[in-house]
Amino acid sequence: MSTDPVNELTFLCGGGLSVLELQYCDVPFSEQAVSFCAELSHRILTSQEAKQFPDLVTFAFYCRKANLEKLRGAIGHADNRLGWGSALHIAPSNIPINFAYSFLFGLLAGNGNVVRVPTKSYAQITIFCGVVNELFRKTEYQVLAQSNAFVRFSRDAEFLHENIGNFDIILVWGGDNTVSDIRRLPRAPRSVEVAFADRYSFAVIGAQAVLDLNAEALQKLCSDFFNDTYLVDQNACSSPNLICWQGECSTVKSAKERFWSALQQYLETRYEVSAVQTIDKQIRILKYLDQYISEMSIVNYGPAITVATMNEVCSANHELKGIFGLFFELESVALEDVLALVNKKYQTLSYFGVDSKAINDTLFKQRCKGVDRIVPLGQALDMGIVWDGYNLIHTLSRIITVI
Amino acid sequence: MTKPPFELDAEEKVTLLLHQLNKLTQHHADNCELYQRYLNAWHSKVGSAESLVEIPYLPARAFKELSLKSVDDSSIAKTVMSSGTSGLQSRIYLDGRTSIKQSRALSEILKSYLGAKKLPLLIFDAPSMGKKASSFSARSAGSLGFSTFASHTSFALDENLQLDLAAVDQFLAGYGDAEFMIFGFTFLIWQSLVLNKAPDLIKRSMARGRLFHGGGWKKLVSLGISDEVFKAELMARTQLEKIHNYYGMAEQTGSVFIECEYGKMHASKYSEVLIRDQHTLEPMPLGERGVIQVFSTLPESYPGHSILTEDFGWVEPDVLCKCGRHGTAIHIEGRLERAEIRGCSDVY
Repeated sequence: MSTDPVNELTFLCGGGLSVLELQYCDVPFSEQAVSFCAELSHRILTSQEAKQFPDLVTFAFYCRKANLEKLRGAIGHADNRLGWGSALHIAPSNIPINFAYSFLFGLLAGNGNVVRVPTKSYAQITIFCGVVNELFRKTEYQVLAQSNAFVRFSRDAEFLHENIGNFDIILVWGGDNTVSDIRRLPRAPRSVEVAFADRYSFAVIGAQAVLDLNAEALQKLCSDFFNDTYLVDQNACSSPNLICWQGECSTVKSAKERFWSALQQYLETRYEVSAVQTIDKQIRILKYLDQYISEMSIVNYGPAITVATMNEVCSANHELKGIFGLFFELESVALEDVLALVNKKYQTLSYFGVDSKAINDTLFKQRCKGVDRIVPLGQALDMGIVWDGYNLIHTLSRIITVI
Repeated sequence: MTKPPFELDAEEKVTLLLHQLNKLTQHHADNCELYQRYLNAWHSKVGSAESLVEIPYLPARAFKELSLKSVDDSSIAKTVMSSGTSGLQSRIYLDGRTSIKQSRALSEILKSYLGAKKLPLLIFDAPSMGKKASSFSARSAGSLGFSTFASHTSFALDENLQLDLAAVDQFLAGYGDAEFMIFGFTFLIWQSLVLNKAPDLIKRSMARGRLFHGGGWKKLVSLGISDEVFKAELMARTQLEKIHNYYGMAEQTGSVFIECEYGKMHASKYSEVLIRDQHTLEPMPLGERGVIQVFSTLPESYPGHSILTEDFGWVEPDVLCKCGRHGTAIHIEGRLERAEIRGCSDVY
């Protein structure tokens, strides 16, 4: 297997493009799909090699048998459904394991899948494909081996131009540029497209709740926050960029101080910024001051925490993106006023110390055009079968009406 | 301002610089709205810095990404575009006043190497680089800057940047027996005098020449060619002995750091250097390695008097050098590396 970024097509496992000839489709949560995923999960979870990759372990844990049964119960067998047929998955290059979730959803919905894995070689991919290849050799998975493939190709590969028109489903992860690149290619008239465009996410934190935390719980909050943000350099759609502190002014001031100081300590052994990254932050701030907002107040709580406090809500909030420890915040702005800004760019609202039901109620009351997820802080990046407002099992399968 | 560029001792200089730089910070804050917004956001001291560390800076990249000027568009006499390694070019807006300040500073600094007399100049670049225009490249700015102090200027390369043997021979025949200057970008010098066979064809010695080269060291570093090798190869092929590397940037034209006869690039009275930690950007103690911040008293038409570069190096303290010059000596070691970003946004 080639480990270089490739210009050519490289099949890592599966039946090549045979899914395009097979006319394969199946019911959602078919027995063979569920048993395949469960076995995949089991083999990864018991692999010594896989243990050192939390993202791989999290994936395996997500597709363990018990969770699949739960998912099936919640959304799987409600309707008279079959997969659309063949799905092409375009996964982003710098998240090692996103492609595996995309595959999982395509498979569970009843489709054959051709999955583009990152051109970069990650150990997680090697381990994952190793396990998949073992399973594809088993007689009971011969149909799946023929109807699924994991592939590497560059974005300009002829393969893409020549074959994209034959797929029933195109799933594109990555962002606006990738989505529009793919849309330039000729697709089948009835193809279903699920495009995950650039999104914007934010967090709502109750100040009093932060002040009420004991030392251990504060550490847990820092760790949750870290996992949602620093772990991916904040370069994920669901990573919060803006923190909206709820509470009285003085409470917010103390809570902020407590939180950012604790986070600074937490980061000391876990995150290092380079000068180039700090310069990136400075350039962003300059650009934002130039284009979107004329005033903000910036405080460095440490080399890796730069917090820009805005005096008031700004209609261009969703343009202000954090990176490498740059965060924006609003102090004591009422939730209604924050949610009034929400547009279709908004994806995830992470919360801590506030009532998620109240947030949801306000969101509905105000008929917000955005926010597809309201999740506790620490779960912003957790992939799920419902993503960006789509129930992927439903979107990736068709319903047959019988009257 | 009347003292020669390398005569101030450290204490005199810092007092003078602080005064001038504070005035510049205030001037730019008053005249460049974006700069003012930025300083306000960071709660920076405007015009009241008590040490160089407190003088606010802009990252050099800011001039690539944004349009920063402290004068009306009508006052802009010319725009210098720097070569961009990342594809983006920086745009430096010059009014007549800043332009003259730059030219005077360069002249003063060069005089300390060449004396007051104008000398013939051989430029290792294409003749088109010597053409005046309202918008020009940093390379062209260098050629134009040096030619101001020349009694005669010739170009050693053709428009394809190949050595023009006839032009070189003609220059050396006319001026090679007395002192003369050579100017060029490091890599162009290396390419035309060392990499190809042409130097063997140059019949006359360049021994009386004094070379000033700069700007292209990144390419040499990437080829693994050290300053010593550069000098030794040039000397072996052209008998050039007097070779001065310089460090300068389009954002601070004029206040260049020229390598002295003892291999030290001194800051003149127009400039100073500060080294910052490569992670925290906190100021580093003298002699330690880090990111280079440069100050210049020259820029008035754009807020470029204090700039954080993405170059890496260290400084020696401001003591009287064996060459007779005062001034912090700067050592450039390379460029900061960009780390790979994690995350899923549009990396396909």
